[in-house]
Amino acid sequence: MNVTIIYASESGNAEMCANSISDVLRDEFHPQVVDISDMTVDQLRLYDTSLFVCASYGEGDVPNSALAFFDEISGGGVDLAGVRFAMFGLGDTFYDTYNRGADRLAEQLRACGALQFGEHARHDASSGEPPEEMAEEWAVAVAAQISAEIQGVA
Amino acid sequence: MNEDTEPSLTVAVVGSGASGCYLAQSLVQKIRDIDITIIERLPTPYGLIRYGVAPDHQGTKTPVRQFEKMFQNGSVRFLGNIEVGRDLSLDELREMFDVVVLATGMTGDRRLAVPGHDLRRVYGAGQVTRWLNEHPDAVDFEPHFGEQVAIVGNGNVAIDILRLLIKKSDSYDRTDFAHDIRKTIEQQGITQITIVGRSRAADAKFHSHMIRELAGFDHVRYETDPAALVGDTDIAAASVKLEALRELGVPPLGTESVTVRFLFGWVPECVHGVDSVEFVDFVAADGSGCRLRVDADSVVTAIGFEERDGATLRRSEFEDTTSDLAQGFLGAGLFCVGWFRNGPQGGIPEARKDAKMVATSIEKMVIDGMVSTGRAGFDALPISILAKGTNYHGWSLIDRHETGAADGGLVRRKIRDLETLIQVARSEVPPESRS
Repeated sequence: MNVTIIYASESGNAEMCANSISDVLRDEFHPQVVDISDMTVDQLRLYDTSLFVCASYGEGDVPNSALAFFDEISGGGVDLAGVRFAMFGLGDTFYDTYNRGADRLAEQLRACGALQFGEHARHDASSGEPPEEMAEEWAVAVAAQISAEIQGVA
Repeated sequence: MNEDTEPSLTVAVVGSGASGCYLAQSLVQKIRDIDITIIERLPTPYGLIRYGVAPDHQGTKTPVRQFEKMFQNGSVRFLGNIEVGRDLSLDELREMFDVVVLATGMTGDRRLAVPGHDLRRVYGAGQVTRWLNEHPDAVDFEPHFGEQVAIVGNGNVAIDILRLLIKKSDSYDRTDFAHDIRKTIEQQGITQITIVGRSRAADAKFHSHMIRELAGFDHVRYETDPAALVGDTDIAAASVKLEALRELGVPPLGTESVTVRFLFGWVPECVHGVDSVEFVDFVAADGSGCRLRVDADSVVTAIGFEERDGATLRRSEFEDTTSDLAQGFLGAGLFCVGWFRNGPQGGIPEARKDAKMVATSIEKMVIDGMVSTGRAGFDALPISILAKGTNYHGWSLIDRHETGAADGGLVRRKIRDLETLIQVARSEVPPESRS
């Protein structure tokens, strides 16, 4: 099972969460951790499962580092059938566009035929909850779902 | 890092704000067995994240968690209470460390270049922000805002100050905005704030969400000339700004005690007053010759930052023909990052981006053999520096003290006095002798 963790970070919080998720999954799945600015659609298709960690920026946009990838999947004619992904979003309820960046990324991936599984998590910076702790808990649940998927196939 | 291994590279980062911390974080990821010490003038790290980000914007401070990890896991060392340029010279530092990176930011307030700019009760936004955030340097600052305040400039820094001057006292739960500072502001009885920017509303420097945050204060009446709110609606960013301003102008409820006027397209011409400011004359930015007078008991200038008077480290002193500022390179083993490198623009994400760029630059120069190595780094520091310096454990004692002392819904009560900060930092012997 090829697993990748793709982070779209502005302040490094999403990157930190991606590393925490990787720590949880490492022994079982040896995931690759990749900055979304280094990710293309062709590369995405190489993975069985992709875990996205995406922050919101500006007016509920995806982070700058995600723009090239986001443009690629928004361009039309992109087929992501067979791609399974889960989404961990970071935002701040302080803003009325709370978590909109991660929501938009998930919407666009689904619009291309990718299958979203697991809980679409939404961390709130204003909650005071450490984001990487929430990410770790989410990672444990996602790991169980990936394992179940493998067993289902076997 | 394995303490028995010789470090591959010794690095001193001067300044522990966002750019310095992100730079250290990035270098640790890139270079094995690197030994990094972040040197900070204060016993507390994090620069503007602690002292610049508004106290009611706690969510914006979350990147601190990333830096806590790197200090706690020992991959980066914190040396506080040491000022490069005073406690030891930059030349001495460069002899001890293979690489020195200047990340000291920019803390001087740009002054109005008009007559009267130095009248009493004309305050710089940086100075006011440090006071609001309880910076040790602001301990003797006693602003008198009076009833009528004029704010010159309308970037995010200006809007933060505006908001903190008008927001009601009981809405500071889950912030670290000190009770007594709030009381001081309330007691001054501000009834009018005029905030003046030189550009059109559509081009104003504030982010639209900062304006939206001002909505819903029932005791505040907002006034913006409707003519100012006409603008290009085909540019999304401009359109969103105008929309945010328009939505502030709801009909008055009659419960208002403060009026906030937004003025656009005016440039200050002269600050008038006998001893302290009494009014400010503006001239139209469009060259039409129109003039406007704003009565003011105080002026806050929020027109940007520059190198502080008396700053011991000035970038221009290190630049020569070999420098490559675009890569953060100043001279042999000397680099710069963040506002010190690039000017006082950009917030936390920009600091991270700049830090990654300069870290890549350093990495490349090391790989290319352009950086001489083998200096002892932290181990070369004289005993006098180690005796004066505080460490990360000392900061964690301050942190614990401040969060423990928080009362009435606050998340933290900052220690304001420098000597007390130092005392608390020293008040325990840490479990291991190195930070």
